[in-house]
Amino acid sequence: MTEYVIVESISKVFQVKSNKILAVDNISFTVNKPEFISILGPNGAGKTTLLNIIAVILPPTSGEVFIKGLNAWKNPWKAKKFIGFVPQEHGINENLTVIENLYYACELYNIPKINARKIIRELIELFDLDEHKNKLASKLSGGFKRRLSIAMSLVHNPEILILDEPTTGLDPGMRRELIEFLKHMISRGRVILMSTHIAGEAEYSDRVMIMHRGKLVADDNPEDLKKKTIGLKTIIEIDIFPISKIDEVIKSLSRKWFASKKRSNVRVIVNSFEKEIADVLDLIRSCNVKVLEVRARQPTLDDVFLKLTGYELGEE
Amino acid sequence: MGAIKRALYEFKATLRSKDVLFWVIGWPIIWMLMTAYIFIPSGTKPLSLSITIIDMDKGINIEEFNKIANYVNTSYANYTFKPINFTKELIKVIEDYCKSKDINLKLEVIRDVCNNSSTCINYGKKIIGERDIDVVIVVPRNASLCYTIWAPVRLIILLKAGQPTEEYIFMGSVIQPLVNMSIATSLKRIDLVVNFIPEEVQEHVNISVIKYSLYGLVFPLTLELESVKPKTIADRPGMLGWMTIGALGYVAVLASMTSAIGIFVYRRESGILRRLIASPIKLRDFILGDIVSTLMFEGLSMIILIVVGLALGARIILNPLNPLHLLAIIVIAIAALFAYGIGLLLAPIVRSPRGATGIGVVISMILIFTTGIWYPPKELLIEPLRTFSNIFPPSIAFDIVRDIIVWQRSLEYIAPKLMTMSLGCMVLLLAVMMMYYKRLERIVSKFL
Repeated sequence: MTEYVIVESISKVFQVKSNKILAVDNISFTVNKPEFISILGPNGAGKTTLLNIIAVILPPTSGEVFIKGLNAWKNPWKAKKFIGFVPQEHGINENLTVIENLYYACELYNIPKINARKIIRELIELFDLDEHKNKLASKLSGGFKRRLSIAMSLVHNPEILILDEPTTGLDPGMRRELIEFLKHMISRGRVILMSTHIAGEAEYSDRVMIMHRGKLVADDNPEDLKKKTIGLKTIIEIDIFPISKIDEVIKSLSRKWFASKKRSNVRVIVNSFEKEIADVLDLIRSCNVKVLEVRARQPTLDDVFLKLTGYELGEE
Repeated sequence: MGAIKRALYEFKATLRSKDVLFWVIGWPIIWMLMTAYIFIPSGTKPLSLSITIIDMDKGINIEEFNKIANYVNTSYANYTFKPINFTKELIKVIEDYCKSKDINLKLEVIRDVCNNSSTCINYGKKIIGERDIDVVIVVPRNASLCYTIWAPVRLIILLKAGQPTEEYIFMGSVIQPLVNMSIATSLKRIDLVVNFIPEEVQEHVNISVIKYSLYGLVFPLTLELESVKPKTIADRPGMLGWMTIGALGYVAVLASMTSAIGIFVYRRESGILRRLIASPIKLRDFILGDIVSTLMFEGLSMIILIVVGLALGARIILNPLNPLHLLAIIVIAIAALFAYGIGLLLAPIVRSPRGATGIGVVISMILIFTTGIWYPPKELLIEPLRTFSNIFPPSIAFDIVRDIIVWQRSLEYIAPKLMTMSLGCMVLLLAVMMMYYKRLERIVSKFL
């Protein structure tokens, strides 16, 4: 069986004036079955650059990308036919109607008009765009623009769909709807490769790759990632007063637990909430601090990212 | 084929962009309307001329006249000298001239405001500055006497010179009747002198020869002047035709240059650039599609402008069966491609759509207003700019187009210009190809 995507030791260096910036640092991975993969990382982690390289948009400084067995940068025109790319900025022409944008996309892939008509009809139905098909794209809501953008990337029925931060600008309801839709796409035998900086979105995927400062720091399914990184532990979030003492509190807690600051809260990872909460609170109070509220929850990918990198997602 | 189909979609999208429609169609139409109704309004407004004569002349004193007549030779003097009031003659000559030239004349004669040339000149300067007077003529104290006895009369003329053109118009309007008066008086005097020659003398000389040699003595040169206006302002339809072609030049330069400069940045903002590069179309095809769509849009815009120009009364003769007229269309397309080429050379340095629009508009505006493409005509440009416009291909191109469809010139006439333009275009094309060949992906990757 031919692997969908093989990324081998990809690096990308940008020259900005006299400085060299390593945007992607020696990343390798393989995708050998239809799955929904999230590339999670804060802004500037190198996600978009990595996706641009895989989508045969931006050449790597070193390393190779294979798409369905083809060396993508040696056979770009063939490789591109396997890929559908959804840019972060929609990539639609706002002065064309929905249907004209779809026909335009068909032209990009040289799809004959007779086939294009059938494909567009199916996509309009799939994306529930029938009501809006004759509207100018500029008149669509953010959610429908995104649907149109994805539909345009699917006109040539690609096996690999690459989406760069597709939920940008969408409200939470639309985000959930989009993620559900993407999961549905896998059932059609596609690989979905999506970048995001929102951990909650990555939770829905089959596989999460965490990127930090150009490096791939983790690559696994969300549950295993949490288990491997944090274990079967509980996260306790505590609101304290005065907030000015938060660093002192974290310093004290860190002697025994993994403790960190999350905005104005203290976050502690404990093995057992029941057994350890009393000790945690005693230690906090010993710093002459009042405990206002205590919450316990299961670990998330946010916590994984923090544990792996020492930074909050969106902190950098 | 694919490039053309994509170009059609781009063309459709451009037609729906209100900004582009305004700048590429609306704005040149506004300019053409302004040209037709403000800069060169229909119907010619007659020239107005306000002349004040400061008359120091006391008229002819009969005793003084008799004294001179007796001193010269009574019979000769009585035959030749007739007492004349110079100021009256002067007024009549000016009035007749202005009437014949359809000039609205406002003439006023003032007396007793000064007593010598110097104070009269100062007074004349003062009233030109203070009042709405174009010309002041100072008639000297003994003008009538001098004129009567054929002595020269020294007139002082002061002209209002608010603008250089104004000064020349006033100078022409006043000097011409005075020159006419001077010539007519001389001829009359020569005839009188010749006729006074006694008959016995006339038998021994050729009177005609004497008469003509006397004419020659007074006027060694006779001048015949005919005003020939520059071709650009020869008549209203010609001027409107000239401006209409200028508007086409504006469209070709502005639309091509702005489109080419922003070729990557406009599409980067919307994500279309990444979508295009992710698709299997080649970047060269993408640029070709963009050029085709730009040319299509410019073509449409130009057709609209020509229709507007014709409606305003422009002289534009377009015959699709005339090969020269087809050549004009090709020349316009080449000029547009040249501007597109300049845009492509500038494209790699532009980083934002606003920058692209700014640079595109500024450069095209500078070019169309300094190379005779739109206004002012080449004839009015300063020397370095005129030289530049003579080698700048789009400027030459629109000269050729004017030659063909406004002035109906022949192929022989335009051939040298055609050669220069083609050479310039080839040089630029070569520069663009050198820059983009094999480096296209690298240039585009800077925009990702």
